[in-house]
Amino acid sequence: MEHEPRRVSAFFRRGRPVQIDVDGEPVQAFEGETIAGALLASGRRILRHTPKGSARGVFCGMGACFDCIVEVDGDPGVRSCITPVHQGMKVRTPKPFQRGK
Amino acid sequence: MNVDVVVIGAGAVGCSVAFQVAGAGLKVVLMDRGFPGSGTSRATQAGIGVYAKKPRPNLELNMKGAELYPSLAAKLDRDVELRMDGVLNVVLSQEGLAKMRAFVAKQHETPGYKAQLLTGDEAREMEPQLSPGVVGAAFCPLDGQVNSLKYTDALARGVVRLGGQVKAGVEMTGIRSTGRHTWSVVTSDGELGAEWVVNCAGVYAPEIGRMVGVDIPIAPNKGHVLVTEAIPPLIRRRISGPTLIRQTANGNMLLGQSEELVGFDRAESLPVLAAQAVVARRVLPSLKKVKIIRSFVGLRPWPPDGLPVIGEVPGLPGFLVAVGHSGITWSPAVGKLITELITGRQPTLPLEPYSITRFQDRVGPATS
Amino acid sequence: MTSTDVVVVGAGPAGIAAATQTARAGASVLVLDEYSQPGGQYYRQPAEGICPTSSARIFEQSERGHSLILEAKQAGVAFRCEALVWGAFTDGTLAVHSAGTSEVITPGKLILACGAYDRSVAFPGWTLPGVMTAGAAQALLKGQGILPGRRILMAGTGPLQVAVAAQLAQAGARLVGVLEAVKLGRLVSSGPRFWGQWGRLREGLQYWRTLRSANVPLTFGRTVIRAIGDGVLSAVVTAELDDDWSAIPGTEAEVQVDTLCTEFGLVPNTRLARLLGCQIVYDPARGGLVPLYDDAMQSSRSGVFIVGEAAGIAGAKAAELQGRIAGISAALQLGKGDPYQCGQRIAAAKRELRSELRFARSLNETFAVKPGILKLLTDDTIICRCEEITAGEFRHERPAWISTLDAARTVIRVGMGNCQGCMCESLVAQLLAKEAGRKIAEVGSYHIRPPLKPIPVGALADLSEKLPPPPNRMEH
Repeated sequence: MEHEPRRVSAFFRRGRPVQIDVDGEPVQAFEGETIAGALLASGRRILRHTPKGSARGVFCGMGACFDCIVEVDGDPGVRSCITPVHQGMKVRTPKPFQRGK
Repeated sequence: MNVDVVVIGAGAVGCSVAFQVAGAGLKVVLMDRGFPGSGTSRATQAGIGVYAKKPRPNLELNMKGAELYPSLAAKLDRDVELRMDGVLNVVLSQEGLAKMRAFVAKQHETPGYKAQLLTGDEAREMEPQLSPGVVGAAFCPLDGQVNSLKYTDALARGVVRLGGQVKAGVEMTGIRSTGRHTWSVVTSDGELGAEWVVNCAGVYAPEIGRMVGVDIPIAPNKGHVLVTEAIPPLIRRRISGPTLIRQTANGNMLLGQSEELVGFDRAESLPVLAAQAVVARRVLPSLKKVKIIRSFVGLRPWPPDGLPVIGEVPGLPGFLVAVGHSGITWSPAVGKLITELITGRQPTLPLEPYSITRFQDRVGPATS
Repeated sequence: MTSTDVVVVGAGPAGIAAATQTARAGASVLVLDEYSQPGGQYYRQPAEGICPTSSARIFEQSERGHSLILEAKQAGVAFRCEALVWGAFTDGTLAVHSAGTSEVITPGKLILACGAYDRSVAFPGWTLPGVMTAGAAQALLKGQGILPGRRILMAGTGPLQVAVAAQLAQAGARLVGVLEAVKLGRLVSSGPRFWGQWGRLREGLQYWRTLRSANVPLTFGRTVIRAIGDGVLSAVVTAELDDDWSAIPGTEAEVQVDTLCTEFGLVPNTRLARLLGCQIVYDPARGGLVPLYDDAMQSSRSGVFIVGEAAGIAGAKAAELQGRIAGISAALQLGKGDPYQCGQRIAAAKRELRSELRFARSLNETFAVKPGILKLLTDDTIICRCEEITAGEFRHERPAWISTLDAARTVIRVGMGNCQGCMCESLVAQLLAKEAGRKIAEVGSYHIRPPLKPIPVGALADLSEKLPPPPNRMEH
């Protein structure tokens, strides 16, 4: 995981380090970052898989497209691009599912 | 231009009528001020509902519709997500349970009806997501569900395939009698001559009726439905009782059953929407975290006595009416009945109970 | 139930300006915004806990935004963040979702400053992770100091992407290039339209110089035609465009990147306005569907004002001026503020606004997306991202009655997913117009119903306790 190349060190001072759990794996983040931001910074572009199985990541980055939705602490459909991380946050990325029977 | 039949209103009823009439070899024009399915047919949960229908002639008509659904759907060129998998009607109180038992017993007086009484646990065996608060249920295998948007669209395409015409975006401006059993239908897109005119205009049927001096006592009955995001399968079949719940083939949950007679008001009411959420959550607690992405409002064509209005208007030979509530359910049957009327065949069901003549004092003379 | 003189929806340049003026005139004002901090996109603030360490030009807008937000607070404006306005009802109430619960607010007057979102231009592979809008890249950079990727290509049209590219370059991002779809010759011949806009030209030149010194090539008359990757983006195919934005065969080039940032202009966010029944018209030179409004920025619905990008794409300066006009006007309608002074301030704002709107119009027309770009869609290209509906489903066996957005949505299901058509409406309108042989203005719009954005069943159910009981269900 290459963290620094994605995080700008010039111009910005990070807040406190924060650790979140994404699909059972620990991910290092910093206070103030969004879930999507932290994942991108850790080199991870895929945020979920659609029902049909296509990978999706950040698209609009402003909470309009709902491509970035993940489950946070048991709550589904959370827009990771506008939701700040907090220590111990449990994130689950949506998986494909069979619509209908 | 002259055709055999003009069908006014391209909802489930009009589309089924036009499709079956076209299938009988007649020249049909199906028209709508919007597009096929753009009225009540797209603002419904689209359950095929038999279980709770009353009075008896209404129940019989709905049973016939449900019975004919598979064979009608088989004639369409695309999947309309038809599932004849019954309905589970649940109750949340002992009082409700007693009422349901009595109701089901009465319904069984009609031949062909069947509904099985279940305990709360048996209901939860069928649908594990049901709340522990469900104390009993009735399972009616005659019910089903369909995608009404696809159904009307497929029927309308079928009309075209069978040589008929579909005119969308057309306003009716008048209907004139031009002789015995001939009509001139005047629209924003020109005039059309026809031997038969079938009024399938749903909540607008009274407006069409007025064009020929007939009072059709249908009032809009407003219902709100909540639509959730698509989720993995949560329930297998429709749930009714304190509310209506259905999961579409796409995975969306449709929640809610509200009723208000407030005219053509289609504005959403927040208290009603919130009340639908309350009762849905009570029946299926796991809905709590599921997200609502949309709501819609539909206007049911509501007759005063629970029976649809079907058949020819006396004094207006060739002017037929087919309107009422639960058009989704009885559309296959009414399409057949109207076709039988038009082609002079014995109707599958006696039509007298649905005749407009039961509103004796309201049927006026024909205008010319 | 909360009651306040004026509610402003959206805390971007327009919303902040409106609220400040309303507060100064003596009315109570509450600003609601979905994000965790005020500022919107243009005045995006660095997130709490992340500090800018210098006054680099990246932060110019954030700094100005910060002082404007402070001024607003000092004037008495209340900001409520992470507050989502999801419904508006005929009794004048707004439904707001915040911190897991929903409540109802009854504003005296309403000012909509809901901003805009990026226009969706579709091409094969545009849904791959790694393909995002320039706006997303800018939000990540300005808000969190995070770069969207390690090898970035920007493609699109207009000055916004050049600004974002320059900011990314300044922050040390590896940009392989910026592609402008409009040919340089056409831009040069459009030059006279921008006569007098020296400040803006200077700004543009500064961005261009930043890119030059970072060795980021700016190429004209070229854009992305395909994004490639196995599960995630790994390369982009670009091609030259003709005047109609059709790709010229034989000019394809492939470039290896992990990130593609696209920017094809902005679309006004008119959803709350439409839910309120405000009249809209189609005006491509203002970004597409825009609301009607009068001199006071009041919409066709009395007491509802619409300002900023939500009223038509015209930039931050116009947004601020419109905000001022509406803020003062809303207060005047409530009988607050000195009519003479307010009148003077409104007149001054209007004068400045006129030239801003003229410039915006020229800009939007120069960088308008041309229909040739639709030819990039193959049958497999997704047009509705939420419901995963492809162009092929749209094109084939489409009966004549599917010639409006309403019909398309009902039958083909575009616009029926989580975003409820935000992303696909303008794209589907273009595609439908082309397929049905109609003008875009004729295909209409999606019907908007609450909730405007998803809310949990539980939250709506809990809200019922705060509401009057609904009419009893009829017995029959």
